[in-house]
Amino acid sequence: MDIFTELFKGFQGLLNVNTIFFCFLGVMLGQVIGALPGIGPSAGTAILLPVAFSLDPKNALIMLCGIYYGAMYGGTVTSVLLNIPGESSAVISALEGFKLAKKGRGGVALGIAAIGSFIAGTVGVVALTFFAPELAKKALLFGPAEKFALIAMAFAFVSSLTTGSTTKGIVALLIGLILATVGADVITGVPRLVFGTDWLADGFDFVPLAMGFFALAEIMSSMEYTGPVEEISLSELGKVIPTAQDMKRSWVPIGRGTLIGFICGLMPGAGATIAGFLSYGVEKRYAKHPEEFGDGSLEAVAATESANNACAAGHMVPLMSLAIPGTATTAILLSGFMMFGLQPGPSLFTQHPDVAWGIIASMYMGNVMLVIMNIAAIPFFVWVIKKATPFMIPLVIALLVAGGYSMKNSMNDVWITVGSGVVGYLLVKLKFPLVSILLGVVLGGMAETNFRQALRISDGSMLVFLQRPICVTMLVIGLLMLLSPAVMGFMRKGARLKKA
Amino acid sequence: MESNTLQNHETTRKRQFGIAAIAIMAVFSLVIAVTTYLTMPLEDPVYLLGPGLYPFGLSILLFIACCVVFWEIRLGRHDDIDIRSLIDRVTMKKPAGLLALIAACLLLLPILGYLITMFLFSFAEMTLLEQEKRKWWVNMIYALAVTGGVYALFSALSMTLPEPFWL
Repeated sequence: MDIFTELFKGFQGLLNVNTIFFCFLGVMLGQVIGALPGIGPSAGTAILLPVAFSLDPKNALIMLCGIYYGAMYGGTVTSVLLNIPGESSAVISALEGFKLAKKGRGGVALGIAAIGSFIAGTVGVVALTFFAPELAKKALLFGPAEKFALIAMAFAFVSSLTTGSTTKGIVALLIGLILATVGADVITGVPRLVFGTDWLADGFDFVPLAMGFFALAEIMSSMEYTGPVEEISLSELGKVIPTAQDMKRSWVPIGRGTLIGFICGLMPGAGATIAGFLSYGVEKRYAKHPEEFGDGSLEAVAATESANNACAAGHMVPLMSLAIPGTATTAILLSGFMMFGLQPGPSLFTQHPDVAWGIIASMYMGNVMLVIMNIAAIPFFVWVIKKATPFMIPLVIALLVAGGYSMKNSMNDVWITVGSGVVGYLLVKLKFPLVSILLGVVLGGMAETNFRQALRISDGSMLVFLQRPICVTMLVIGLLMLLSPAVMGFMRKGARLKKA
Repeated sequence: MESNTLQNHETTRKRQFGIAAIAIMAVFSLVIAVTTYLTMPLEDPVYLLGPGLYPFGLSILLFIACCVVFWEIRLGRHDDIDIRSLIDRVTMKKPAGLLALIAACLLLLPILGYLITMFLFSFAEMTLLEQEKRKWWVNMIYALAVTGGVYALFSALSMTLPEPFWL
């Protein structure tokens, strides 16, 4: 009953022109950002963090969250019409949707994607409404040792799930954790790793790093492509509203995609891309027409688009209830909360219920706005995307420079943005996951504080981490996640030797 | 035969790049370990753990992780890295060009201020690096729109941007 009352209050808080405007602006920007190749939701939220800083916290966070889930819808447009996934989770839509578009069914693919995304997004938000506050209540019982174990488990998940190599994930994470220690020590106040400089005394600000890693590095990567682009014109799109037959074929894939996506969203590191590929695999296995897969399958588009939208809602559960971000974008959102002095987790629901429930309520409203936009305004978005492309790189750089400078009125942060952009570009080429570095920077301080507090409580005994079952369980799960690739490798080797 | 040799050559280059990168990270970890050990106490009489212990421990773990990745590279487990853009001049031309323009822009920013510098940057980027070639005056209008738009947005939000040195 409490949940319904709070949600109702959240909706009441939305009923003013300003908040509705920022929700609309967020989903609209998300839609465009998701559709524009070369700039994803993480880059979009990172670029707009400095702008959001000057707004009211609730409106700013509603806008940033809108960008996140709005981008999940937007990625489909360029996938289906240009065969270029606007963001990585739309790869399958490009594979199957573009082929459907070539057969004159691009409109139906976009329509089904929009409906699937709406259903999955809304079901995901309903689950978020019930899961997040309950999980937050449980997290209130956590002491420093449990909090450290939880963060360590999240680190293990992200390191092992976001990249092909767990060891590279660990290296990236440790670099992030070391960067987080730069500046004054939170407990003793002693300056650490500042190398005698003043500008490192406050530590590395998260925003310039995120802008460099995700916006500049992505822009640099997108500039490499020089080949011609094969595109579908709007006249070849066909009808956007799916027929009853199309809907009948798509209900079950949408349901399965929603379930898979939401579960993936709950696990840190298992992002929308993994959710999309998993649901594609499942659909291919159970499809009535498996021969259509790879040649333009409506079921595949329905399942993967539902999965990535449900995943976005799923990621908000650990973010809002435990302050654990599972992806780069949610890590940026976490820093957005912190920028306003808000701490996601149990205290968000008790101390700032207007913000927590306002965000959840805005996600219901945002999903409705998005489905209307995606069914009624596809030609408008295609027009915007085509017109925006020549502006995109100068616009992003202009925003990066302005955002980097205006945070502290200093050129240092602008240079850090550019430097981290170059490093991020090189690390992506070398297959190091940037999300692990970012997560290390965002959660590093929290991990260290809880680790040191736990040891202080236990007079320096490491056994404090093994005294409560929940703590041990989380550490064991984390360890298993880290060791699983090695164990699987040994098992495969053993099986091969047996065969030989 | 020739394609095999080419493939072997590419694999060797990939491993060289991978080893160079991991060596830089290992050196970074050692610098951090030595700095923390020499400049910060690892223990504290009040808080038990000194401010240096955590970064020191992390840097040692990073060094160990770098050694493991180095060993894996030698075993050929990281041959999936993408060095095309780092060694192919055609592919790296535009990202490198963008970087050069950004560096020039940042050097000019404290002198000419945000509006003039970003206008020049946007115009140069659209003229020199964009795939689609347009008339110079169209690029000029686009550059004005981009710079003016961002400047107006930040001014409306009362956020400061660099001014020219004469103002």
